[in-house]
Order: sequence, then structure tokens, then C-alpha cells
Amino acid sequence: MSDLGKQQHIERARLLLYQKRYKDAEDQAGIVLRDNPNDSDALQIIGHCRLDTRRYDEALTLFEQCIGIVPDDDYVHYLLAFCWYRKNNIPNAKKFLEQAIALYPYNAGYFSLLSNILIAERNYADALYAANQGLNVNAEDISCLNARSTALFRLNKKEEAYETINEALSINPEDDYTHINYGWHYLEKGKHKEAFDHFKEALRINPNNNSAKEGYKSSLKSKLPFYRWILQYSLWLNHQNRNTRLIMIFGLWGVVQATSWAGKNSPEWWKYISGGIVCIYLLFVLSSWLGSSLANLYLLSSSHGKLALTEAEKSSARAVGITLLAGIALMITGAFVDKTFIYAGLLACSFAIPFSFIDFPIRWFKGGGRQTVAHIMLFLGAITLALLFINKDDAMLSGILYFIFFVGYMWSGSIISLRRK
Amino acid sequence: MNEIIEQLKQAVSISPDNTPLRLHLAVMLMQQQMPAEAAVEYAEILKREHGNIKALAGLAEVYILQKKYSAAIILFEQLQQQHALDFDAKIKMVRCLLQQNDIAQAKEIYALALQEQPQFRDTEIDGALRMTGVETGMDADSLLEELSTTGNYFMEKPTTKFSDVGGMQKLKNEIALKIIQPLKNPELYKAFGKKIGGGILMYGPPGCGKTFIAKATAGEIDARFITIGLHDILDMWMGNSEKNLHEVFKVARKNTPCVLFIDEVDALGASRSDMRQSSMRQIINQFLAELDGVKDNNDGVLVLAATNAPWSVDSAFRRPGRFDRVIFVSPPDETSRKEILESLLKEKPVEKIDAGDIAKLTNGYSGADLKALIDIATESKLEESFAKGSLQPITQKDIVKAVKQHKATTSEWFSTARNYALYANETGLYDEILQYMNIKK
Repeated sequence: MSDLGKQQHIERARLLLYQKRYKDAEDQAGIVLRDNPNDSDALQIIGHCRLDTRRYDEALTLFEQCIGIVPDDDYVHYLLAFCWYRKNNIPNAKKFLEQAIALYPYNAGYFSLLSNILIAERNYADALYAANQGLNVNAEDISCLNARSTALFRLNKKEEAYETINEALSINPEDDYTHINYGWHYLEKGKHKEAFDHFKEALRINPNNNSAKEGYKSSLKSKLPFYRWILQYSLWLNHQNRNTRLIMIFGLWGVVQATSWAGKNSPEWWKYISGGIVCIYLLFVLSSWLGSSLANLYLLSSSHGKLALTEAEKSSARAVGITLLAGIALMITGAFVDKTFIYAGLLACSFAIPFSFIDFPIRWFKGGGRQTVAHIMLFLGAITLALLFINKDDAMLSGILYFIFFVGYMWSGSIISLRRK
Repeated sequence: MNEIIEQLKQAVSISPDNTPLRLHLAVMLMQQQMPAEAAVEYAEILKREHGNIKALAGLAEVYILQKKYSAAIILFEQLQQQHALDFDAKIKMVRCLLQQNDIAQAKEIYALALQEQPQFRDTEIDGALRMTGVETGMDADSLLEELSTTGNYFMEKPTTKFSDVGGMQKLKNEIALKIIQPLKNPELYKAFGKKIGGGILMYGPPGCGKTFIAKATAGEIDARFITIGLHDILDMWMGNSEKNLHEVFKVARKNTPCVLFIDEVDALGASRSDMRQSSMRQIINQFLAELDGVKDNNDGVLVLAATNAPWSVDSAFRRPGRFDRVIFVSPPDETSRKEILESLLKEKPVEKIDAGDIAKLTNGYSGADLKALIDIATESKLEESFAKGSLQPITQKDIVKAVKQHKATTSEWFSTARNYALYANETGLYDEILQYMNIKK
């Protein structure tokens, strides 16, 4: 193969990659590799294909091999950073990205990634600075504009944020990410109709954009007020720093505990108030656990929503719906027949919570740790339910065990969600 | 004249070893249109002098006259071994090879001939081998390069007919109305003032017979068939693209009726909003101009295009007069699957196989998937045959096992297509997908 031949194959492979024909691109690059197994261009292209098809580990290996051959290639550093970013390893992503920028500070794309990383770290001021740097290089870079508007929204500079996002739209009205960005912003503000329009537009432009689809579903579900509030709350909470979130979760619980404890020796009217607070708190907690599944149940009844839901979401929503219905039916029976049915009904209702966390289709006692724990919980609950009608004492014992699992599961869930982005 | 021949014959019989004399006689005989007798003389010479170049060439010519092409080719090959294949002989050999349908070797020899005389043009050979040559105005060097590598824009005359294609009734009707009938009843179309030509864009999951039906279309109307594949298109992006594209259309117009089949057309017409670079836009615009026949008349040129990603095809392609019919090529239905399976299993050792049952099991499988099933089953049986030392026929069980191993490759395509049909379907372009997937909006 002559040198010209190699260049032709690389060029072909680039075009194919650009057209998202990953397999063909890898084939073309492979031809070059057959001649020279250390060709950095070919390795980079194959790595890029793997990155785009979400095989991050394979991509990482390839890019690292590339860096060994051409240690001063800024783009490979950028790709490596992007890989780590996708793998949610922010420190590594930052390390490589800084190198890429140091090697070549004139690519706006590098700054937009940096800005997005800083946003993920909730460091909004620096994120804004990075986005501005990117815009210095290319004033029309859509991803920098989007990162800038996000940072500005978080910094509460609304006017500038809207200005930026509108600029992005005027430069390229056919950019799905801008629409998604707009959509989530509206959802956070509780304007679900505007959000819906933007998500719909994003889906029209790129129907296979998952983020757009998630937003589309969320905006449909936001027609339900309780879901809208929960979503707003969780989106708001997501953007707060660690301490605020800690206070929100444990502080709220503490306040509720304190009010009910303080009510022990107080007059009658105080009991009603503290009872009310506890009820509202419980409702809030329950809907934050079940809200999504219940809203999905609502989507199942609309034709648009039904098509947007995945099979797993549909099954989960159905399972939650059925357990809740069964529980309520049991409780109603209990009111007329026997108290045992009331307990059974309450127990059945509580199954809805593990069901809303379990991945469907269920692979019993397999999958990650929390999945298995949820399965064990359901199993324990079912035993308790059966024992209720056989032997009340044993039922008490297994019920307590179930309850311990239940509380532990919920609190550990909150803590894990605190750690996560 | 006959007297001279008689005298020569006598002279030869007196001195049978006089090769030049006998050669002279043979040439005379050829001139007198007596190939059979000439052949005898040439054979005599060769008997005495095995590698006589002139005799070999002469005999080959006799064979060509007698239409014994394969025999002639053997002689030419012998000449080639002796490095005595001159230019005329090469051209003759190419013709023989074409008669024998040995395209690959014909190309090789033709390339050698053109090396000697770059200016040489032969419409018949050029027409059959490829369309470069006079029409394309390509210079000899690039022609040679083309010839020595794979044949781009290769032209052929397919023999596949519509009856060879199982199922796809709707598609066949559509093509018949748009392509076949106009050629059979041109007056009728003239009366209605309808132009003959235009294009059909076929889309669907990979491996469902888009290329096959395009070929069958050409076979049905006895037209020439030119394929442009993915790499041809890519090279257009890279090289002096516009010119190449023009050449292809030019040749198609010269060889009407001609079916121009563009595979993976989305590579050519990837949505213009995707590509900011103007050089890329240029080729799309060029293609559209050719399709419209702005400068030239496209009568009798039928353009078929296929794609797996219709959403990446520029919407300008679908305007009337261009690809005004967009047809969904779905995976084969149950009856078609049965037919396909039966034809796949026809010449294989099988035992108690109910193709209908397998067809029921393989909903959503493409033709290529079915082929893969049979391949898997065959391989496992081969292994077993080796182990047992006797031929083991394929059974129903083997294929059912293969069905479990090999899932339909079309499902991935449909999961992408579904989203497009649901969310980017303002014009109703993808309604057929929704219909096929049984989704009611």
C-alpha cells in the first residue's frame, strides 16, 4: 500500500465515521492497521467509533495506545477526556482535558466539555468562565453557548441566560441539544407546556436522542400537579451543593421528628398541627418514591405517552398500580370483614415501593446489590402476608424484619442519591 | 486463386517440413474463407513445431471464426506465455473472453492492451466491460488504474426476473407501473403526457432484498444495470466528484434503457443541514441536477436507490420528478419466508423439515437472517458428520436451535425507525413503518 493509499483509506474512514457508519469506518481503518499496526490515525478512528457506540473501555485502551504513539496530539487527549467524562470519572476527564487545552487552546469544543464538567461539579462560576473562553475562540459554538446558558441559569442571571440560549437557537434552530436545554429549564420552572414544545422539536430533529425522549415523557407527566412539584423539587435539589441537599433530606426528617416529639406534652390543638405536618411529610416522601411510577401509570392511559414509555417502564408502572389497587381492595374488605385484611392491605400497598425501584423485566436475586435487596424485601413481604392468615406471632416477627429492611433500604437510597450527581 | 492453392498444396506435400510454405498455404486458405482446411494446415505445423507463433495465432483466428471461443482462448494463453501476444491478438482475446463471460480476465487483458495503445477505443468492448472509454473521456492512465482495480460503475445485463423474487407484491406493482409499463406501452404514457423515467427510493432494514429487486427490475425490462455503491459515493466526496457523477449519468443516457441503481444513497444525500462544508453540498446539488436532467434528457434512464437510513436522505431528493416514490421494503412475510427457506434448503441434505413451521418462528427475520440460520445449522451438521464419519442431514431441530442462536438483525433497525416514525413523521413518509409495526398513533 502506497502512502497515498493509506491517506485515502483514512479519509474514507473519516467520512464513514462522520456519516455514523461505524462498522464500515472500522473496516477502512482496519485496512490501514493491517499495514501498520501502530498507525495513530487509524487507531484514533476506531477508538472514536467505539466511543460513539458506547464501548468506553475499548475506546480508552485505543486512545491510550494512540497517545503512546503521538503524545502531543491534543485531539486524542480530548477524546480520552470525553471517554472518562462519559464514564463519570470527573478527575481523569479533567486531567486529560487540561492537557488537550494546554496543547491546543484554540478549539471551542474543548472548552465546552470543560464547562460541562464544571457544571457537573456544580462549580458554576468557573463553568461560565470556561464557556466564555470557548466562545472567544468561536463565538458561534453551539455547545459552548448551551453550557454558558446553563451556568448562567444556575448563577441566577436569567436575562443573560435567555439571551444566550436564544442566540444558540438563532445560529442553528435545528440543534436538538439547545431545545433539550431549553426544555429542562422550563420543566424546572414548572412550565410544562413550553417544555413539551421544545422536547417535541428536539425529538423531531433527532428522534433517537434519549435525553429528548426522557424530557418529552417528563413534560407529559408534568400535567399532573403532584409530579410537577416533585420533579421541580428534585431538579432543584440536583443543582444544589452537597450541604443544602444534606439539610433538605435529613433536616426535613429532623424537623418532622422534632414537631411530633414536642407534641407529646402539649395541648390538643398542637397535636393536630404536628399530625398534619407528619402527614404532609409522609405524602411528600411517598410521592417522591412512587411519583414517577404513578405518573407513568397515567402516561399509559394516554396514546402519546404509551408510545413513549419503554417496556420496562410500562411493566414497572403496571406492577405498582396493581399492588396499590390490590392493597386498597384488601383494606376495604378489612373494613367490613376482619382487621387482618387491613394489615394485609397496608402490607400489599407497601410492595409498590420496592416494585417502583426494581428493574424490569425482573431477574430474581440477580443484578446489582440494591436490586437483590429489593427482591429479598418482596420475598419477606410475601411471607409476612401469608403468615398473617396462618400464625399472627410469626407474622409479627417477619413483619418486623420486613420493616427493618424497608427503612434501611429507603434511607440508604437517600444517602446514595446524595453522593450521586 | 484455387489454382494457386492447389499448387501450394502439392508443394507442401512434396516438402512437408517446409513451415513457411505451409503457413503461406494456410493464410491463403483463410483468405478464401476455408477455415476448416486452414485449421488442418495450422495443426500440421504445430505438430512439427510446437510453439510456432504464427500458427498459433492463425489457428486461434480459425477458432474464432468457428465460434470455438474457449479453444481460441487456450491458444492465446499459450501465446501469452511465449510473450508473443501482440496488440491485435490481445483485442481478439478480450472478445473471446467476453463471449465466454470471463469478465475478470477480459479486463486484465484489455488493460494490458491499453498499455500498448492508450488511444485505442472499441465501443463493443468498452460497452461490455465498463463505460469508460470514449464516452467518459477519461485519460488512459486513470482508465487503466480503474481496470486494474475493481470495476467501478460496472455495467451488466442481469438475467434475474420479477418471478424470481418472492413476495414484495406491492413493491413489484409500484415498479411495474412506474418503470416496466412505460417501456412496454410508451404510446399510452405519451397520450397522458407522462414522462418515462424518474426514480424510486427503497428503504428498509438491511438484508431484505432491496438490491435484488433492483436487479430483477433491470432483468425484467432487459435493460442494462449500473450499480453505484457506498465506496463509489465516498470517493466522489473525496476526488473530483462532480465530474465522475456526470460521467455515470452520461453513460446511462447513452445506454438506454438503463437502470441506474444507487446503493446506500444516504451517503450521498446525508441531510444538507448535517454538512456545513460547501464542497459536500456541491455533490448533492450536482446529483440533483443530473437527476432532474437539467442539461440532458433522462428519458429511458431509471434511477433506483436504496437506503437503510431514509431519514438521512435529503428531503430535496424526494421532490416530484426525482425520487417521487418512496417505498418501504419490509422483512419477508410468512409465505415469503417459507419460499425463501425452501429455496435455501433445496439442494441440501435434509430430513423432515417443515419450512412453514420455521417461517412461523422467524417473524421479523430478513432474507439474510434466514440464510444465516441455514448456515448455522449446516455448520453444526458438518461437524457432526465429521465426528460420525457419515453424512448427517439437516433436521427441523437443528434449524430451531439456530433460531435461538441467531436473532433477527432487523430489530435494531426497527427500534431506530420506530422513533423516526413516531416523532419525525410530519409528512407521513414513514406511515408504512408504523403500519408494519402495528402501532396506531
